[in-house]
Parts: sequence; C-alpha cells; structure tokens
Amino acid sequence: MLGKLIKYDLMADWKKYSALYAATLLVSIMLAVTIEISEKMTNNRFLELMEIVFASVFMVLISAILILTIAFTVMRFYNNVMKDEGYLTHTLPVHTWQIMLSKLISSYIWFLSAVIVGCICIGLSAGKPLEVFRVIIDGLNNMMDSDRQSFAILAAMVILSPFFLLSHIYFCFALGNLSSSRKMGTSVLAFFGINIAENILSAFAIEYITLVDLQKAENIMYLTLAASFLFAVGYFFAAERIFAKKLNLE
Amino acid sequence: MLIECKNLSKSFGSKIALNDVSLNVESGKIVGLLGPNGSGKTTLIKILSGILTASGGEALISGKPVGIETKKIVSYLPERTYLNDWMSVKQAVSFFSDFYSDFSSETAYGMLERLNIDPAERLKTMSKGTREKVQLILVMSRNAELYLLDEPIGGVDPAARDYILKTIISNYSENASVIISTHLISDIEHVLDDVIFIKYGSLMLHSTVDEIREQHGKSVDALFREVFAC
Repeated sequence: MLGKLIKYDLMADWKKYSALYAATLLVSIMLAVTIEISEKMTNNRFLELMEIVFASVFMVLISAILILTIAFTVMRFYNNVMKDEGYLTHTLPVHTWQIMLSKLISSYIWFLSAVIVGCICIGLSAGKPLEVFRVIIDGLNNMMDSDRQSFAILAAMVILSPFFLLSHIYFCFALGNLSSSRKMGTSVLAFFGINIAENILSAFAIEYITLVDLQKAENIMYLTLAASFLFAVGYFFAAERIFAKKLNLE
Repeated sequence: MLIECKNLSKSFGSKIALNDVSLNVESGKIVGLLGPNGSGKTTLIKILSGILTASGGEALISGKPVGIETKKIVSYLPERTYLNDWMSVKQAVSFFSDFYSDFSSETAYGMLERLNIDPAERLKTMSKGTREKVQLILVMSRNAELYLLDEPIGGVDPAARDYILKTIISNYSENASVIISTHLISDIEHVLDDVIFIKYGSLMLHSTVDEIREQHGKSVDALFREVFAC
C-alpha cells in the first residue's frame, strides 16, 4: 500500500514539476546560446540585453525550483491530508504512518529531482551540462580526504534536512488539526512558536551543557545533528499519533 | 450486529454535536438518517467512517472499533467532492481498484457508460453534479458491508435523484446495509427499511418505516415535519 500511496502522490504533482523543470531547462539553454553568440559578436547591445534578461530569469527559476518544491510538497500534504481530499485519504484502508511516510518519501524524490535538474541547468547555462556534477564530486572527494568526520556530519545534515523541515511542518499541521476552526492559522502559529522554543532550548543547551567540550566546532555539529534528528523523529511520531487518534476533519 | 454505537458523544469546543447516542443497525437494511441541518447526522457518519474521532463512547462496525479493518468494509460518500481533481475518471477508477479489494472496475465502467460519462475526462473540467455522480458510482462499485452516504441526493437535479436511488438499491448486496443521511425525506422514503431521527445531537427515534406507518398512521415525511416543526 505504501508504494501505491507514493505512486499517486507523484502522479498528483508531476505536471507542475515538469513545467517548472522544462521552463528552467529552456531558459538555461537560451542563456548558454546567448552567451556563446555574444562572445563571437562583441558590442552587440541587443545580445547584451538578452544575456541580462535570460540570466535574471534563470536566477529566478533556479531559486523557484527550491522554493516551489518546498511549497508544492507542503501544500500537497495540507490538501491531501487536511482538506477535502483528506476525506478520501483517511478512509483508505491504510495506516496513518503509511500516509505520512508516503508524503515524506515522495517529497524526498521531488527534492532530489530538484537538485539534479538545478545542477544540470546551471551546467547547461555555462555550456557544460555535467560540469557541475564533476565540480561537486571533486569537492566532496577533497573534503572527505581532508576531514572525514566533518564530511560525514555535513552529508548527514544535507541528506536529513528535508526530513527535519517536513516533520516539523507535519507536526504543526497535526496541531492545527486539533483546532475546531482556523486550522491553517493554528498550524502557522505552531510553526513559529516551536521554532522560537527550539532556539531558546538551543541557547540554553550551548550555555549549560558541560558533558561535551563545545569549544570544538565538530562537537557542536554532532550535538546539532543529534538534537535535530531526535526532534524530527519526535515530531513525526507525534504528528502520526495525533492524525491517527485525534483526526478532526470538519 | 453491523453497527453498534454506545454512548457516542462529540463536541467541538463548547458545542455538542452528538450527545450520548446509542444505537444498533443490523445487516441488510437501508436506513435513513434524518434530521434538520446541524442535528449531528454528518458527525455520526464521519465518526463511523473514521475521519472524526468521538469525544466519548464507542463505535463498532462488525464488532471492530473504527480503524483500518473497518475501512476495508465501509464505503463512504461524503457531502463534498473528495476526489483529487488532477485525475481523470479512469485514473479515479484505478485508484479505487488499487486500494479497495472489494471494488469492481467492471461495475464502475458499466454505470459510467449508462450515464454517458467519458472515462477519459478529467474531474477538474466536470460540473459539480457530474463529479458527484462519479463519486457515487465509485462508492457504489464497492462490494462493501456498509455504505455511509452523506447527502447523496442533495446537490443533484430531481431526474438524477431517481437514478442515484436506483443505483444505490441495485448495487448494494443483500447482506450489506446502507445509511443515507438526508433531509429530502419524501424522495427516499420509499426505499427505506428503517429511520433514525436525530435532533440537537440526540437520538429522537429509531424505528422501522412500517412501524411508523402502523403506530403513527403517517408517512415518515409527515412524522418528520411533526417532530422537527419549528
């Protein structure tokens, strides 16, 4: 059932992502062609203007890929779990954890595709589509050779960051679900409230934790990673329990 | 017993939507869940379908608490459009077929054809009435043990109402029960076996249609107007 849930989640949004990726790919190709021609035809004001226009649109689209991926995945969860579509989602013979895990996995797939398309587009705009991947791989290799520990922590942070963000958002939506009205408003308030509480807790932790030497940067990284992971797991399970036991689709 | 509700309550803040409702429904019945707007009909159906949690009491379906096992045997039609509008009708049929083992694609396509609904058409481009018909077809194409239909004829024209009622009667199996929530009583009275009257979240009456006619000498519609007179 988990596979089927993921399949329909991906099917729901693939057209939106395809349009965004196609637009970014097209603009990156046009930017690369414009740069190529303007290098050959110097002092052409029209080409210079086009280069600026395409570069600006390209920057907007590259940023939009990341921002819209977050927006689309969050809206997908909200619409499919808490709005009218939730009437179908929650009457399927599946467990609540399967619904939530399917949303998380499909979001990961979209985040990964956004990164891949983003890298390809950046490479295309420079006329070397796979160059960005080579630079990233070289950079990662160098980092791994020089400081294996920091590399492992950083890699874990990057890989887990969507989980940290999404589980936090799912938990806020779950708290919003408990409200009899203004579910979205309650969710937004919960998001900011929890963020503030987390920041205060971090400040206290840094001030008072004496078990580990926080003068060392790598210890702070370990602690941040462990705390973020524990919080994210806690949020995910708490959200799952709330949706399973206190579902409130009015 | 197919449905057992024991002291079921639901409140939203200070507002009581269901107040200590206890009732049993047997298999093989078409039951009208009747009451004015805001009486608690939808709340009761939502609790039985599992999309709302009761504040107190217990609801059992086929002896099991509402959960994944009851969702396998309950086919629920809400009063709103719940289908994902990015889907075509064909994709919606596949969706139901993928998730419900008791769903018959053949039955669904048969009903779609009779209503001249193109399976390739996207739900987004359909009128609200047609989307509601698609939804009803999907719900009634399941071989479920319990059908929970919340206002299935509320948003459609009188001609379509007859078709919908015929669809409901001809598609549920003899061992299954259908609970229909509506305030359009005269339209459905002739298909009902039992009726449940709900007022202000409390159970007012649970009786067979025949008993109402014998004891009160009135139709269900006439009794409803008397009980719920403003």
